[in-house]
Amino acid sequence: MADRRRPTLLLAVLAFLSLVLMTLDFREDGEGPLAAVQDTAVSLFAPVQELAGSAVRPLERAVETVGELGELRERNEALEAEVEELRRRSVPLADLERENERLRELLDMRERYDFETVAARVIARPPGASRWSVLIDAGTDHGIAPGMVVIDGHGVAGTVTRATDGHARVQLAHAPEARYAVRVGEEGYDALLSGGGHRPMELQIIEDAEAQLDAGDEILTRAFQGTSIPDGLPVGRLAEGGATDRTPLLTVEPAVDFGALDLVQVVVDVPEAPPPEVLDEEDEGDAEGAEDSDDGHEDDDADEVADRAAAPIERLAVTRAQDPLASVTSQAPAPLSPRATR
Amino acid sequence: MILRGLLMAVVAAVALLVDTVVLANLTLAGVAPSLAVMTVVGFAHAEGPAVGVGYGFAVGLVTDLLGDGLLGSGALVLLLVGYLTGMARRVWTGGTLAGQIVAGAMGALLAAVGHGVLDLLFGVEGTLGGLVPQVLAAGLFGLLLAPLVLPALAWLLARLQPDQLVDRTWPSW
Repeated sequence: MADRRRPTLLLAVLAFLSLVLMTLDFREDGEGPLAAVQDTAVSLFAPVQELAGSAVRPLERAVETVGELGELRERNEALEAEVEELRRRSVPLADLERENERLRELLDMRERYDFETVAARVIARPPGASRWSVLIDAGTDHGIAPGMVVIDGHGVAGTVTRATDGHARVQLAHAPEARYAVRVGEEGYDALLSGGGHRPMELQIIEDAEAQLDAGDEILTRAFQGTSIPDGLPVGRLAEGGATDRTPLLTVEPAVDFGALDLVQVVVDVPEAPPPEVLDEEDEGDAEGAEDSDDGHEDDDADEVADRAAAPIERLAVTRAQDPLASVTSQAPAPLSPRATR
Repeated sequence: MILRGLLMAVVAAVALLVDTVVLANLTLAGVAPSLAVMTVVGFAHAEGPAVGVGYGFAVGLVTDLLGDGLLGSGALVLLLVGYLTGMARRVWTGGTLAGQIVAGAMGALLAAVGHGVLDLLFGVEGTLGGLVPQVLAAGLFGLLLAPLVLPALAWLLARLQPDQLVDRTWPSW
């Protein structure tokens, strides 16, 4: 009989304890002793995960390679065709680039700022049921702080939610709680992008505009004062078109393959001011007086970025100007935008 | 007893490591297979509900600490899985391996349902209908993992208690 009662009692006690923990954690909301315990647990387990990951990775690659042989041949052909296409296009491109440069000089426009990134590797996913975050092997020691955006070669992968000394947790952009201020379409309509979790990502147009959006329209981040998300990073594409006033929610195809994240970059340094628009003479005059205006600020930042990029820490500077999508801003139609090259 | 606790701790650590590093990207309907859940089912199936509850709670708590969900939610789900698996073991009269496979699949299903219901309750995401594919995927993973994990755990436990009256030799105990 005792054997029969013991597990039930244990069940009751531990279930109660779980409920208490849940209530506390629900109230605490990311700060306080429970979060500190979590941080400690993560920083204890992360090195083991890192080790295991580096042991398993070559094996995984080998398995993947065998599986991909057929696909590789196809891709090779596709890439060769693309090389041809690019070669054909490179001549006018070079021409445009020269023209762009000349026009920039004419307007005495400064180079658009760089943002500084820290390279990191995805070590592990969280255990358990919620799979909307990853652990990366860079943390506060590398200059990473919560709120920073994480990108990979294709676009926005997520946002840093917690950071310990050597590791950081990244909430992926398709997490159910994830929200991004974005703009969409040729006209750059303001919109809110929500991660759907198991469901696809959804876009909600905020701006009161009547327009037709098409499937495949690019969705880019929108910089806000007080956030550290740079402007103009690709987040995804519309999976379906629709009229902005009639379809409240549009499904979105994310730019990043969340299942295949490996090497990522954390954007650690974004100037606080919104991206510099095409400046005219008046702005330039103002900037010398006002320290905080984007123009005067930008110059300092550029120097600083250059200094820090040279530091021995593993850092890569991603030049916004190199990204053709980066310079499309909503406020400024940007006559000099390299968009023409697309 | 101490040895058994040590074994459980090591098994739990290895399971979590494999879950987070290796299995995490093998998703079906957004669900990845979970070795940790399978070890809860395994220990509960072999040792009864008391061990199931304790071990489930401990593994769930570590899962919560390492993960990004609500602290305590994984613990609650896994202790229930451990308890119910342990209790079901008392009424189940089928063959050994069949019992283990059924227990594994049911345990994985149960864990998925538990997490889904908690997510719904706390408004994280989803609808009841959207849960179905995830629960089915989890059950399928359980079905696949159970015949590998459960006999191995039973065998390990048997090795630790060679002088017990109950004959617990591989493969039936």
